Formats: sequence, structure tokens, C-alpha cells
Amino acid sequence: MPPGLPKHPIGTFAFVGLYAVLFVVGWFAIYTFIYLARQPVTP
Amino acid sequence: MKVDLYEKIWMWGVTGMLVLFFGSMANGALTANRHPPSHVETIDPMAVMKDPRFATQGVRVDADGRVHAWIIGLTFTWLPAEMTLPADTPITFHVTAVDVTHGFHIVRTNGQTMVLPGYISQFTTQFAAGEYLVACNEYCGIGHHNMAGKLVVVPAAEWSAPGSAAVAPGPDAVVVVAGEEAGHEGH
Repeated sequence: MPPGLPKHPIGTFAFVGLYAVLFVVGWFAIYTFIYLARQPVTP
Repeated sequence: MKVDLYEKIWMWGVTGMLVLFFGSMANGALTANRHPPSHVETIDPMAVMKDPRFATQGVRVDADGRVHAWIIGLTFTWLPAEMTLPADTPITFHVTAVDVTHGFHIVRTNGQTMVLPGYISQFTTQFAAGEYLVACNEYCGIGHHNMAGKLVVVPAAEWSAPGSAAVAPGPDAVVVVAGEEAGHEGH
């Protein structure tokens, strides 16, 4: 490994982490404001 | 056992997602009373059209004034493909299939159930006034994408029960060939 490079691909981690955060936020928004908001049906 | 750092991150991520998804199901079931709309009522799929429950499809009002919708799914349409229903009124849907598994999905509402030959799926829900697309959301064959219907929901004051007899066909018991008139949001 060339000297001076970080030990881990920090930039890649940042992109993947941002993707994960957006995924979780989007999932919770749909779960809360669409799925739960529609209320259950009566069997 | 040595586990690589990246492998650990991946494993914890997957574990977190499993907890999230199973937790959401448990939360829905325990706090919001959400369950599969199962209703163990059987029917001979070879004799659905002759069965008194489905001999006439469409909207009926029972002796207690409750509104019921009796619907058959077959490749590639719903019978009836269009119904007029009262708004803000509990409506009990009874749906069965005569051939293969279908999915009865009233788009943008909570109305959704699998439709299995041999069983009558049942759920009760209500709607605001408007038009709703009914899509088949279980792949049922080459014409699956055309299997669509429509619910026209009108204010309860403007709605009249179809006929007076419990099995009389309503004015809305019209079969529309899927694809000619209904929307195509289904997949």
C-alpha cells in the first residue's frame, strides 16, 4: 500500500453510510406515514 | 474465530435490518392489530359460478343493512370489474378465485388480500369518495398486467343499494373486459 493512504476506504464508507441512513429514513417514513396511517382492515 | 472488520460491519448491518423488519411486523400485529386477512371459508373452485354465494357477483346489502361485495377473480379479470359503493361505510369484501392465485389490491388503500382457489378471502374496510383502481398483485399469467377493476365510491347519501333481493344483480354488476376501460397501474 502506498504510504500516506488511509488504512480504510473512508470515502467509500461515507457513501455507503449515507445510503444506509437515507434508506432507513425513507423506510421509516413509508412505514409510519403510509402503512400505519392507512389503519388495518377488519378481518 | 477471527472475523474481518468489513465482514463484521456487514453482519451487523444485516442483523440490524432483520431486527427492523421483524420488529415492524411485531409492532404492526401487536399495537395496530394488523394481521393477514385470513378467513377460513372454503368453496369448490370448480363450482363457484353455481355457488349461491357467488352466483351473482357484485354489491349486496344484508338484512342488517351491512354492505357486502362478492367478487370472483379469474384470468384476467375481476367479476364484476366495476362496482359502485357508498363512502365512509364499512364494506365487507368476499373474494375467491376459480383458476389460479390472484391478489386483490385496492390501490392506495389498506384493502388487499390474496385470492386462492378453494377459499373465500374476506376483509372489511371503508373508503372516502372517489375512484379506486383494483389491481391484481399476484402474477397470474400472461395477461396479469391487464387484470384491473374499478371501485366508484360515492357519498353514502347518493348511493342506493342495488335491488332489494339479497342475490339480485345490481346495476353495477357489469363485466368490463379488463384493459378496455380500467386503469393500468397494476403489475
